[in-house]
Amino acid sequence: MNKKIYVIAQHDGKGISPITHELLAFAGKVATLQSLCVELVLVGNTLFSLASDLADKGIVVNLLDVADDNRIYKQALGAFFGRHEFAWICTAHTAQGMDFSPGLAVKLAAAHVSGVKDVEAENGALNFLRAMENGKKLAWVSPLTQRVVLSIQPGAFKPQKLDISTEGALTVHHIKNLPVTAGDVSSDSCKAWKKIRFKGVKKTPSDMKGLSQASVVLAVGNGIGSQENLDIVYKLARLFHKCAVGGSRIVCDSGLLSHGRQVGITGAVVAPSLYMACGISGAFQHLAGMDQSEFVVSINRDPTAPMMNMADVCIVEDLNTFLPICLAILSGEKNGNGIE
Amino acid sequence: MKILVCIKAVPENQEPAAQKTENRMNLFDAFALEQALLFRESLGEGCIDVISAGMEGAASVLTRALGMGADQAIHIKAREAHMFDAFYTASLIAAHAEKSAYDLILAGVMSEDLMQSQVGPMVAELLLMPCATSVISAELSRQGVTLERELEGGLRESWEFPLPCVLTLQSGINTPRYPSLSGMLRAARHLPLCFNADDLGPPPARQVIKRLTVPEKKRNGLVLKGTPEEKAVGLGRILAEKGLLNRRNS
Repeated sequence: MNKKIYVIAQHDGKGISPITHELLAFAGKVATLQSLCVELVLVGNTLFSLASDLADKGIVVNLLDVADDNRIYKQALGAFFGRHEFAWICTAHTAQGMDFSPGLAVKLAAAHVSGVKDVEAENGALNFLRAMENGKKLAWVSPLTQRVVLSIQPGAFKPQKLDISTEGALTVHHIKNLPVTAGDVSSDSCKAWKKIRFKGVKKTPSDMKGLSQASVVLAVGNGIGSQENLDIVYKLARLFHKCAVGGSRIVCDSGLLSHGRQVGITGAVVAPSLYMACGISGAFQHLAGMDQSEFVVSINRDPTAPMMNMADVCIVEDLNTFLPICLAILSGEKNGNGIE
Repeated sequence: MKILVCIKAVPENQEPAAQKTENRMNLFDAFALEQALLFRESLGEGCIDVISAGMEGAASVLTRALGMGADQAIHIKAREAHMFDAFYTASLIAAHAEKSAYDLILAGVMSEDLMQSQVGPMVAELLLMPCATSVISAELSRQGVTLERELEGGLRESWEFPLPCVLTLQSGINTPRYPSLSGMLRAARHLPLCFNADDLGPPPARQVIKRLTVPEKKRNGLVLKGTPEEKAVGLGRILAEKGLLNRRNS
């Protein structure tokens, strides 16, 4: 049987998002391990020229000619895969992808492995690596179904240059009788689908400019504990040139810092000369926002915090004890009791 | 208005040296429960059921949920070992929910321990209800929910959803309350509805964990030794050598 691996493209209506190239890189890896063909699926009725460009670049593209509408992603894909046999479906482990991906797996009686970071072959079967417990542990997961949906962690697979020696193709699929588009479907659940209204997208106010232009970022996490400790971090910040204070999601949610100061996938992505993480355990979403930093210092009482794996200098200390001492010594107020 | 909140017990064990694993309510589910309580307050009516699958941990978080103000607890006794497969857990919740005609089902966007983000949207699909994930603000009326979803890069989508529907909630949408004393006294007398997972006809597992590992070091972190003062001096020296710190005494 000619089984396939399908990549569901993430796009903004004009072009495909960078994560789609990462999905193709992952699919290419699986295809090599199992001798499968990779095909791309684009959902949207305004994407014909984009789809033909991709086909010209050597990708086999399936264009689902339905409205580009979150409400019908799952239904349109469900209808398509009801007629097209697949071994693997790859989606993006993003807010957009994870809105439809687990439901699609249920619809297709497939297992759903979330947040895939790597793949290995074992006795002809594939295992997938994913993070657990805020990134402290990793699990190799083995799906038990014939067909599997995989959501791929952003940043885990490097986008690869497309192999233009392969023959691209474009097939347009018309999907009919979807609940939100079909006029003759009148069950209660279909009526409910029709009542869903999209009201638009907006950008939340943020201070990303200050953070992304800083050459030193002092970042605080849940371990910061109190406003007093945060005040010490602000004083430390004055010792550095072009320094900004940022934080993890949990600190911004708690109100100690504004949401505009959040570093991570849902906040600002930074790459300063120095990133000093104070009490940040290092969830994947946070690490993805700072892992390009030149030099990383991690201060945390937990030596197993994932941030320690990202750090050039690790300091295992309680912030309550360490921050006042650190400020005194770095500012030169105290010379370290003759240690130097 | 009948609301169901899905909650999960996660290991409390965040400290490296902790011997005993205590359970606590998954943080994201606490946001979901708080949102249900806020909805009930804003509508001036409503009944909130909380459901959890698992053993002792599930029982303890259900008690806490009652203390926070939920009306009824539903405990599905299921072995934790099975619950790595989110489809298994979602099927148990859906088996209960389809008998009870809920107007709204809330869950956390993910669990802190497994981080799969699957149970909410899977329950929605099993019940054929519309679902919005990663919800960061929500207002409920008797007709529906006006909500915002959080996307990457600081973007937010606005939606209107009809009832019934399923929402999964992001952290930061509200501030979960502490259980009240009167709530905990009531919870102590409350008998949850109990079901055995096996009686609900659970599906076979669709995935298993083969083995666990720890993340590789991405950088060769130099671990500073000594007293806090010695570590601070060491840090100062390294930062000064790299030209990152302007020290008066160096």
